[in-house]
Amino acid sequence: MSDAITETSIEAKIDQINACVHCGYCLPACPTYLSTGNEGNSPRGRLYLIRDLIKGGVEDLGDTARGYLDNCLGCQACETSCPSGVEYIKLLEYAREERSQTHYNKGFWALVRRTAFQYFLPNRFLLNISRLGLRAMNAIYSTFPFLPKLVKIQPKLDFEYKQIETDRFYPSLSNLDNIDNPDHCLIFNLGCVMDTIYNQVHVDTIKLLNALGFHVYVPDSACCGALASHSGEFELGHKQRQEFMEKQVYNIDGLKINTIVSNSAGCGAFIKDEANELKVVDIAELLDVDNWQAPVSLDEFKASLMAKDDEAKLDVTYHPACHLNHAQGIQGVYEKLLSLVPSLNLKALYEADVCCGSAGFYNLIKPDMADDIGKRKAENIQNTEAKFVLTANPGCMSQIEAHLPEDYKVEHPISFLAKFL
Amino acid sequence: MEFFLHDIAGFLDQDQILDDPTDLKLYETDATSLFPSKAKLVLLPNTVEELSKIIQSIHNYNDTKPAHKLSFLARGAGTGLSGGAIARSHSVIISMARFTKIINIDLENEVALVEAGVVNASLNKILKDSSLHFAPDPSSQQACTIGGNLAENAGGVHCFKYGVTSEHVLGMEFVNSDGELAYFGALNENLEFEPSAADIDISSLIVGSEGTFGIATKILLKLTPIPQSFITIQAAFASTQSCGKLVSDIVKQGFKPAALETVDNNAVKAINAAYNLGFSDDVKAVILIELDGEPGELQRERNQIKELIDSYSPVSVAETQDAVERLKLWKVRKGAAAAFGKIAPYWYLYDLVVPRSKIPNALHGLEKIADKYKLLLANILHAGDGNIHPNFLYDPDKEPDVVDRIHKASHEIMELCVSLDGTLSGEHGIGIEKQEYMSELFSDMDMKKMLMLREVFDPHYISNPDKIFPIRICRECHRDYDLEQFKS
Repeated sequence: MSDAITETSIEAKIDQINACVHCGYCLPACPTYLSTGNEGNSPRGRLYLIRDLIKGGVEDLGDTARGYLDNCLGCQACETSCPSGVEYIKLLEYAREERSQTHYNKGFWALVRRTAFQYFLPNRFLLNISRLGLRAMNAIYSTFPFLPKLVKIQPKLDFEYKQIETDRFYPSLSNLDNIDNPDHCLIFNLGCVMDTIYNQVHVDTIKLLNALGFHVYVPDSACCGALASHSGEFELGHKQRQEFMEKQVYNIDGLKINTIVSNSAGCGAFIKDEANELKVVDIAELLDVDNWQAPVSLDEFKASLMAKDDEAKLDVTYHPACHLNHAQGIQGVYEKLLSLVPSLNLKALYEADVCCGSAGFYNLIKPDMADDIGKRKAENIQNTEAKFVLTANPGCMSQIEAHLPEDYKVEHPISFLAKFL
Repeated sequence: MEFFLHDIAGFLDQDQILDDPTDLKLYETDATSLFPSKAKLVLLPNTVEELSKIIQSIHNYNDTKPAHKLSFLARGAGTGLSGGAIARSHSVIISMARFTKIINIDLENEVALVEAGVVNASLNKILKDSSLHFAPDPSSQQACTIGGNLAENAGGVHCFKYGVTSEHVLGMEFVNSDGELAYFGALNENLEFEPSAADIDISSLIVGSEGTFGIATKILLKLTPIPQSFITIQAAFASTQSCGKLVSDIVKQGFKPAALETVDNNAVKAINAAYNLGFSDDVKAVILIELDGEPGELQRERNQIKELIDSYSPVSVAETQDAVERLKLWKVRKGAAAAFGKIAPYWYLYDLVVPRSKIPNALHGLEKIADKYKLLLANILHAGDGNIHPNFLYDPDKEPDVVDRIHKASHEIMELCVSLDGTLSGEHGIGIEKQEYMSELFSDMDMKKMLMLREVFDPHYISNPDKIFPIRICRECHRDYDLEQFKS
């Protein structure tokens, strides 16, 4: 249960629900409404039901309403589009956790999820085992493609895993003069999913941060608890986040690093809430051309983008991850940066701000809905005619990859930029 | 109903039929909360063929002579403010939410063919890289559908220059109340653009008929060139009178701004407080003027309008040609909805039109009515059109009788509007909200003529019934009135 929810009084919740004036501006922002056209699957519809819980004294919403609450991916696009500032996600969490006894936390997949959250994701050894397991499954599926897939979205995992040593400092060789300057140092975590299925993004992140003049410390940590919390396991998620934050300490030779950088939108959004004395930034914020924060100047960085530029124009499209775009409100940063690359032709993506259907483990709980939403995203991507898709979250990467034909390539923008270095 | 349910289950899937009480509750309102009413069923067709079959099934059911005939109405995004998409009893809601294809954009002929459920702003997103746009821009454009715009003849802040929806609809595919398909205006049966002005303009009759004639399923729209450049001017005044006179002067002198909007006293206070816009306490009204067109001409126009503004001693004036700054200046108008939401949980947004010259009288009258019923009033105006949106901000939890007072005040507003030679709606439609006030403006004979026209399209009186016209007239005309006798 998130603190924000438990700590607010019923009066505060009434104020929150009253802020919704039923205008309907959220409808086209909502992936489940776009997919079904059903008012119950819209934020306005869900809030109309939650209103009964909060103001009407209703104890049990019933199965139909529970189904609609469960269908929400928690992408928060509705909050971005809301003119009245309704804190939808807090109200949804309240309804799910406190009163409606939704199906969200019941059943076989809930048990699988809970086991994964509790035992696998926080443990680097078990994560390595699961990566090997997933690879084995991949090999089996490629040999026997007719077998039914146990997990509907199976990441490709066709990369060479490059072990990144933890509890280690990775200095920027071009900026050694400032090695003791905390403003030039960052804590970077390997986390869980990104390292397991897209480890190359981490390699590229350290390479890019170093090239920008940042010294990087990688602590011995694993999952931050975001996946558990975003999947409705609030208590577990918050406990994991506390444990995770306790590991974010670098204090050698008097150097204290006070900024954590994240390259996974979901993790960044989650740990920002518990930043305490540490500052949390998404790597996109360091690359904001309107607010450049790297030790290496923007002009120098631009020069490197130009220097390795070849003449063939590459059509690329960009899907903003919801936890970057909506939850953290970081908008337009990658688009602006990518537009500086002369060899890149950035194609506008229709419904770019709409979720791709990944949303943590949503595709396990609601495979059909996740599939519908994923297909819609893939169709919009295909309409851009770009065969190269950039997105900054491992969940989005695997969901989009799974819904596009084989000849499409999905990459993190950091990996894309690192090629120019 | 079993008969009907069995019939539609033959061609609709389970997820297309919503009959659970929870679902019916979710569709009991649109963007206004004052007239909740539950439908018999909500249906989500995927295709025009399914939609036609639904209407045919309604006829099959009605042929069994049930105690209550079934009727139907189309619903877009439910962003309307007059109850047009709320079902009266025994109505089936046909949701257009799955009709979201932009079928064709013909840049050469400057037309677009879209399905009725396409969101207004989505069309302009697709057109972003072209030199064209769809001009009608109602405040809800990020969510409202083109079908809904057509039904209500929606306007918007830039409609003073570019005209309301009726001026941008060229043709349509239409399902009448027998479930038959027809093509009107410049759209032929092959869904091709076929300009034709030789026949009666039936398309224009359907625009603004609020779904009482049938359902437009595909709509051919006129696209308008995006102006080369713009200037947005915002001026604040210590008196609403000065602001009102300035509006009249601008129009009298032959200027045609793309937008001419004002926000008055309480609205300025609310929005200023919500967004910290920096207006001083003595500001009683703010005007927004947007000029667009060819740059040279624009500058000349700007200089003349600036002189006019200065002659009314504004408290402050700001202007910009920058797209980002433009949004900041517009905040005082576009941020109204959110700002009102922070003051009270509910607000009732009214829509009336008076001749421009009578805007000051209307504002004075509105203030008196608000005082009489102790209501918090905030006005925003499409001043160029004489279109006033009084907003009553209220909280029924704190004042249980407030809704009753609002209804009484509404009646007086209508009387005021008619006394000033105004009309009942500028862009929101009549729907349920104002149907009983129609008698204030139109004679029974006028309304019966309109109903005769309606009967041509919907002889069975099953397409969005009991809307627009006062219930008494609707029933009288439908049940007791001898139309043949009236015709003779």
